Amino acid sequence: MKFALNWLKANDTIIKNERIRVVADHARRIWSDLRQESNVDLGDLKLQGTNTRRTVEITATVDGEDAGALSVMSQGELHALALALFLPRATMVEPLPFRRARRPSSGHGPLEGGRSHQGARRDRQVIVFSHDDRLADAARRGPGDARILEVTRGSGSSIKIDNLSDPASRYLADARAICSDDKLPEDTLRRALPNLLRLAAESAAREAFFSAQYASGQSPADVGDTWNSAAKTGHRVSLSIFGDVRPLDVWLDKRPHRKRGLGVCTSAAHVKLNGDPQEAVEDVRRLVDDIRVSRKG
Amino acid sequence: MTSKTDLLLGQARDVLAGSTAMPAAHGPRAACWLARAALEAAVSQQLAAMGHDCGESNMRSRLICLSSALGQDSDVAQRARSAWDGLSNASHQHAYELSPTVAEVGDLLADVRHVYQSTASPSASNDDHATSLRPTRPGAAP
Repeated sequence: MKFALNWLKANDTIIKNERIRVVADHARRIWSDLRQESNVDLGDLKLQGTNTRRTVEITATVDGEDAGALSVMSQGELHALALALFLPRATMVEPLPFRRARRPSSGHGPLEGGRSHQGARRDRQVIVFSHDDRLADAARRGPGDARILEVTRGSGSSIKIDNLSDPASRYLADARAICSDDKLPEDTLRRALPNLLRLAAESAAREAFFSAQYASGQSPADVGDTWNSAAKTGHRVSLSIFGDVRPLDVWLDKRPHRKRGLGVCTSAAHVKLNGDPQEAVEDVRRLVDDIRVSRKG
Repeated sequence: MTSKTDLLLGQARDVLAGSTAMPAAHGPRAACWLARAALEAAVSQQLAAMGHDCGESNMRSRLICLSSALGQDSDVAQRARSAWDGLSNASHQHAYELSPTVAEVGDLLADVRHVYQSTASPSASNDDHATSLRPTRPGAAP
């Protein structure tokens, strides 16, 4: 027993550093995405010290010359480094499928912030809190499935949360934009529109279905599987309204725009849009509103 | 045959590298104007190759049509959109931002080239209507 303890003490640092090497490799990859024009190259991470005096040593080179990393780095570089170290550690053994990060700081370009989370986004939900509108702006204008919420803190710390932008609204905005461009040939408009409207309806349905399922305690993997096995737009709308796939006729017949809207999304996506483009957008917008508010409505 | 996109991208690269008569201080911004025109041409060329005529429509419509035609997960459509945003942003004077750096513009050029190379098809060089070398803000030109 004593022998084992001594061996462990002697080899403690070596073992720890073997585990940390994975983090170091991952951190270097993230750093190379974030560094932009920085001349600092990240080297090894080493855990040092024993008992209560423990530190992490970060080695780095500037233009190939050895340098103590922290002392030569700018504020923005330090933030990028913090993110590079945090992301691999946070994803290593964390059981939760989401991650929360503070805002990408002021010394840190908005796009870098977005990019650094992009890799993690593949298998995690990423939530960024920020006072800075630039990241939100990049997400708003750029593609992707980001959802932007505005949190307003009033007197007495009463909190109000508004949905500023989500994928469905952006697809609808895109649809309206091409409708109002009168120099776009009609044939091209009629081909592009149904796809955008279908994506708008499906993202609204996805949002509604996922939040309802999560709220009732379903596991993310199951919810994802159910969603993926329902490939048709009608099935997905049904999931969002009823929580399962069933005939939608009764629901669709309650409001004429529902049937027309879903018709645009399903059949029209394979051929060109036939009816009036503006009306198609309006029908799908109202369908999207119905999906958002109504559960079994 | 060299396409218009190729030509514009080549000019953008030269301007950025400082191998033209363009004063170095204005190189990055001028390269952005050229790259914007190159991206317009590349996107129109791709849409034309897929049978979508985009006429005289604006660039936002064309980018939306490209996303719609290539599918929502298309890397090319996404890169095209973010490159367009980046280049448009870099082409203007901002209150508290410096002009784009050479490295930033280099990244944007790489994005445009990526879009162009993934969409380039030698048979479809029908991009004349899309390409015009106008700077975004006439009068702000160096």
